[in-house]
Amino acid sequence: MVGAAILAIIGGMVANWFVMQRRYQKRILEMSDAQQSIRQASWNMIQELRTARNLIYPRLNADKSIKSDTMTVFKNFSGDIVCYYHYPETGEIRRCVVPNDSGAPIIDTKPIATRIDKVAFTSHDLGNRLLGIYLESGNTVGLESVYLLNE
Amino acid sequence: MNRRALSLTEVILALAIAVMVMVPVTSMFSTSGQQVQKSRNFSFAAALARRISQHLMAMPFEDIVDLPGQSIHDAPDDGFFNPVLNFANDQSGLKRINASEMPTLHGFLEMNDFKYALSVSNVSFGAGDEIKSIAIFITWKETGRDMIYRTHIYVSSV
Repeated sequence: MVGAAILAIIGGMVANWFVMQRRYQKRILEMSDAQQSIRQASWNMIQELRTARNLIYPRLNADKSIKSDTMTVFKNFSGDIVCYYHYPETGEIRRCVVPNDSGAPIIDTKPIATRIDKVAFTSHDLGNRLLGIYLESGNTVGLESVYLLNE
Repeated sequence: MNRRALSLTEVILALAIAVMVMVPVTSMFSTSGQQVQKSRNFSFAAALARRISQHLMAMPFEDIVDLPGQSIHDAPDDGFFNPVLNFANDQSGLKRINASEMPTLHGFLEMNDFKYALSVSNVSFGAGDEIKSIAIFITWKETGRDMIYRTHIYVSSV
């Protein structure tokens, strides 16, 4: 009887431990996914922004203070106008291109990144070549900047 | 029918076996969690260093000087991190990395005590042609250990 009672207590403790471990693993997995989302978003945007010609939006405020927005517009290496924008309902960052020659704007079928809760693109310099990128996914954050090389 | 209950000896034996199995499993779970956190901190440190390097390229050449270890959160305006955001059309909307304006970012930076430092070396080629070799250090604390990420960039005066 005593043995069975001890066994029941031990069993309960082990079951509880498993539930806790499951929660912990879920949290770790979410953190890992968030990290991956941020890395993917940064990498995809920075690759194009680095070789871009100049930043169209956002630009510094009239009083020369920095300016942020959830979208950015720039002229890429080929002269196309490109826009990255955050779609909060789905947590996606999407890319839209206005071609340099004639043609309608094209929205990429696949998003640049998913599961992104907050995005802020910030213009940092008068020359419109330095863009700060802030990303938030869950409790994971990303803080990047990119300097446009091809003005 | 002889229905035996479990004896105390049997229970203790079973418990000992269970503990022997559980200990390595527990350490395996905690190790995987630590690995994810380590990877997250390292990626974040690399991103911070990249951010500093990009800001250095836009800075006036003469303003690039040695910088001792400085916290990123609750720090004075520095051109690299603070102020970090501004959704308004004038400076009234400037947001800095502190607990009230950027709670998620501030919490993460404070928890790991992220800091940065710059070490600048000047190389002169004469006639105003100079290069600055800049070492960027990012340091943070992780489960009581001091961690460091280091990268170099070169900025030309021309």
